[in-house]
Amino acid sequence: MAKQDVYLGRIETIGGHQLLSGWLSAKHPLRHMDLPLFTAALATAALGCIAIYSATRPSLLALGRDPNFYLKRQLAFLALAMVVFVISLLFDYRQLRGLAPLIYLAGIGLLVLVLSPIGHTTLGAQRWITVGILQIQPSEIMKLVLIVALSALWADKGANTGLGRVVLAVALAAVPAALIYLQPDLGTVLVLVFLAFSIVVVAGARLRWIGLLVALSAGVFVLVLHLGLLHDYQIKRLTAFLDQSSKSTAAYNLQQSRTAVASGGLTGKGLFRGTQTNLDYVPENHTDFIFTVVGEETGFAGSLLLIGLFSFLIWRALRIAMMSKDQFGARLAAGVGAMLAFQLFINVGMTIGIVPVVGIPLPFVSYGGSSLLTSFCAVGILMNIHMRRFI
Amino acid sequence: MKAMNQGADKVHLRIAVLGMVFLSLVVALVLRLWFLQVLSVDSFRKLADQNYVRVVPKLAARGRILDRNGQVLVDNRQSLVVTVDRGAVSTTDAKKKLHLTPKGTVTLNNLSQLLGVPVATLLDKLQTTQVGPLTPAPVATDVTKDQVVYLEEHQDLFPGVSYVQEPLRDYPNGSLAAHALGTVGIYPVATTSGASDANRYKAYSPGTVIGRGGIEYAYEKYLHGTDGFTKYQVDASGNVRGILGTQEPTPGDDVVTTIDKNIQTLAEASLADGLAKARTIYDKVSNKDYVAPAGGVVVMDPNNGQVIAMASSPTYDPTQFAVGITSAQYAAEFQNNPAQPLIDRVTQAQYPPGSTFKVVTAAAAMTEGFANPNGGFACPSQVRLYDQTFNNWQTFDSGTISLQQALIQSCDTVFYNFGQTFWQRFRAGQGEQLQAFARDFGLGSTTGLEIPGEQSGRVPDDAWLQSQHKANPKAFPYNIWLPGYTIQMAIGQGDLLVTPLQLAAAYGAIANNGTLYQPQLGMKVLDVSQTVTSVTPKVTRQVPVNPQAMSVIQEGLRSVAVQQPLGTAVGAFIGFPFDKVSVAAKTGTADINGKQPYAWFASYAPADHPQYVVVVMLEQAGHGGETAAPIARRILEGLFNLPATKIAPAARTD
Repeated sequence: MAKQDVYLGRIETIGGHQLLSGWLSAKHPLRHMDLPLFTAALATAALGCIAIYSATRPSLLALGRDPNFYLKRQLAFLALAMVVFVISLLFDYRQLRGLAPLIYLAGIGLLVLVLSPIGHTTLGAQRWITVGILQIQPSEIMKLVLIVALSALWADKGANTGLGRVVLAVALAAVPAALIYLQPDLGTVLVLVFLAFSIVVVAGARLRWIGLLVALSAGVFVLVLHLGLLHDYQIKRLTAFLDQSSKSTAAYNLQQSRTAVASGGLTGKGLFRGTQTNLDYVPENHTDFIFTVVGEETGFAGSLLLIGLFSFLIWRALRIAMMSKDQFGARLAAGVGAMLAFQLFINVGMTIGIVPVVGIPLPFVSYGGSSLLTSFCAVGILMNIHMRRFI
Repeated sequence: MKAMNQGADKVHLRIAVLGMVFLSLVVALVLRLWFLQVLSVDSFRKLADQNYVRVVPKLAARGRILDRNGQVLVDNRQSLVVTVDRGAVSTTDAKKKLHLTPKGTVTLNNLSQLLGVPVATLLDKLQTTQVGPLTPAPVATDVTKDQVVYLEEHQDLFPGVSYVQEPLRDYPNGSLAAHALGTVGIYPVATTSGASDANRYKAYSPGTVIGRGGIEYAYEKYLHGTDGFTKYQVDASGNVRGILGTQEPTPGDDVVTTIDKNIQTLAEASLADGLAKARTIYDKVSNKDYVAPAGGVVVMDPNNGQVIAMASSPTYDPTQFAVGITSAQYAAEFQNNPAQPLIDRVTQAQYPPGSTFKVVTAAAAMTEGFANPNGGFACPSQVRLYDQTFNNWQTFDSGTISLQQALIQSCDTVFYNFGQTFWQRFRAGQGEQLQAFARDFGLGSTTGLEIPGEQSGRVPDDAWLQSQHKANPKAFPYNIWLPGYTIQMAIGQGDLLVTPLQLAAAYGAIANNGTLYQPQLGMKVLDVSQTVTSVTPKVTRQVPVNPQAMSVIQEGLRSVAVQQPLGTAVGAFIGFPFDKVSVAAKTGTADINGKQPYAWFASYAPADHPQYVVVVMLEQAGHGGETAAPIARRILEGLFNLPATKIAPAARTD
């Protein structure tokens, strides 16, 4: 037994004293926490809090309000996120497989609620529902819901590669994508599409089906463009992306955000010293454009640190996917990794002009409870898989 | 077991592929960030800085312009100016066009009622580009105290409306010396008149008051001072968030001119009076009274070129330019006004000099050696040269007279003969000697007076004729310099043109025995600490007239107003106290085809140690001795504190 424990890489004693963990069995989940993963997530969130404070303080002061308003709220969300994180460790993630249909239906239900008269409109998009004093953004939660639902779609053994599953996966992804598209929230739709792809790939779908999916998606995209299903503002953003030096408002916003990031230089202008940040030249810089604060005030070094933290989280997710005892866990973990990777790419990419502007938050960093809770819930699930990889 | 392992390997492979995809995304981000933040940081930092720094100029008070005795000619006065913050009443579209907000419309209506100015005018002023978008736009100057008090007490009716005290150019003497002083305008809309220098306004902010002519333009760099600024930090909506730095303005220097306010006043009054009198004289040739629309007077110190007075009629009040003239007003009063009051008749208009030019011909003829200073010259009523008859203005034969006498009675026939000789010499290849002397006296080129727009006059010669013929063969059918040209030029006619200022400088050279000074209007500059920078006299050249010839000319000129009965200015100087002040003078009457005669009078006094040169020119106002000389007499009386006499037309002498 003891030999096996050593094989598992666990230390039982230090200087003859038995450690507390020694009381637990070698495969006990509590002995296999992925602390670096959690630390990186927390560090990213902390970085986000500083950026939020920097982004909101001057305009709050100018309005004569409490400069800590958004920081305090984000810290409260973070505390709540810790609770959610702990809860997501308490049960065996495999139970999610059975609950998946229920979770999926609940998620769809919430999305329908958003579009119902209960839904709450801000900045022209209907994305929120109000529960008590809290506003929830179900599209954020839906990303995680879809990961669970799609991961549960395939059995661990046997005939896993059929076309039927793929078609079902497309259907499962299409329903929430359509509902979210109606809000409208193109960014989240894109993330859903990407993570669905990633899970289908990991699930072992044959290459021909994957190729078919890519062709199908491209077809849908072209169709959407031609049928005029895009909103005016989306077309403007797309045009601004294609002609970034034009004089339109959308292009102006893009120019300002790019200027903010680029003017940060190697080491940045210093915390709270970003002129683009402090003087409101970048709109929404505490939510979707939070990266401009990091880019301007901490420069290339800070940007690299942030991207480094994300890369670490993504690597950790893929590592857990590989270490997972079952393929359900592997798909879950890969799905979370894909979610983080694409959100990072789209969010940072749109501020620096390599992706058209679509409004999605940067996980852990952007201001907003739904995003933060979802992100830590996702980390909790990763951790859950890591903890239970021997049982 | 093996199958399962294969399955797991396959999953691992797929996860690894996914990992490669994610890695490539991250690499793309990092490369783009490297390009932006490390390789392109300089240009983007510039963009970011331009975003948030707004520099609002603090304009320096313009220096004053004083006369030679310290009397104020141009001052600044505080004017109450109503301004409107454009952000409070309007929005700007992408093309930077203003659109009044509903609230702004109400505000502007209220303001229109208070000031009695149409809303359209206010709106027009709001569109100004003369001040930056952050600076409130001035919409009305010189509003009353009562109106300002009302504004203060009813601020709720006028959101965004405010008022400031602004220095405006003030002219305590009205139109006095307007042409010499020049006007002011606002940079950059009102561009300069006269010479333009690309670097001249390089450091100027929009809204700056600049000199547009005269001394205001010439001494701009002293008068202007140094503008200060406030650097504001502004946010994306244009709200000021903080001040990054300020620099107080340094007021401009005072410029002391050579003008004597009292003499200037006298010169302008005498000119106006003389022109008015001329308009009452009946002219037999044209069968109507003299039109006498315009004229110019110069008073200059022959010992240094300082201009003591320069009067031009008609004149104008520069105040209207200082408070802001609308383009409609400008067109009506100036641009389309046939009297052209903006044109300075002393420096910006050129005329044939008539007989006043005979001093140059005499100096040239004697210096070139063919006219004996002590010789006798026939003065018949006409001469026949090259099959052409040239008439003297006097219809009787004066017999043989001296060169002095030829000047005193302005005998044309004597000078026709000189002209013939000059032409013969030109034909003989000895050069154009008369033209050369005219140029030596400063004719044919600008004198170099500081103020812009000066005309150069014209000394016609063979080369000039060739080019005119080439450019316009209809108007100039001959391409050979004919004898008649030089003969006419000898009495100051033909294509010869001078400005009154050029003639004053030339007579200054005769008065001081041959030094041609550059006329000047600036005497010194006083900066804030009263440190004086003096303008030193500038000698253009020594005129190469031989001394004997010079004294013959001077002797002749001092008898023009004295010698009874032939002196051409005697009539105008009856009763003048020559025992106290001797006057050297020459009359002139220039003929221009289809126009009434132009009257000239050039003089200096006292004749033996000259202090002043006085030149008078009247357009279409008769003969020199008749209408120009009485004006000069009145000015000379003032210059030497002699009892004043009334200006009255004298005998009709050329």
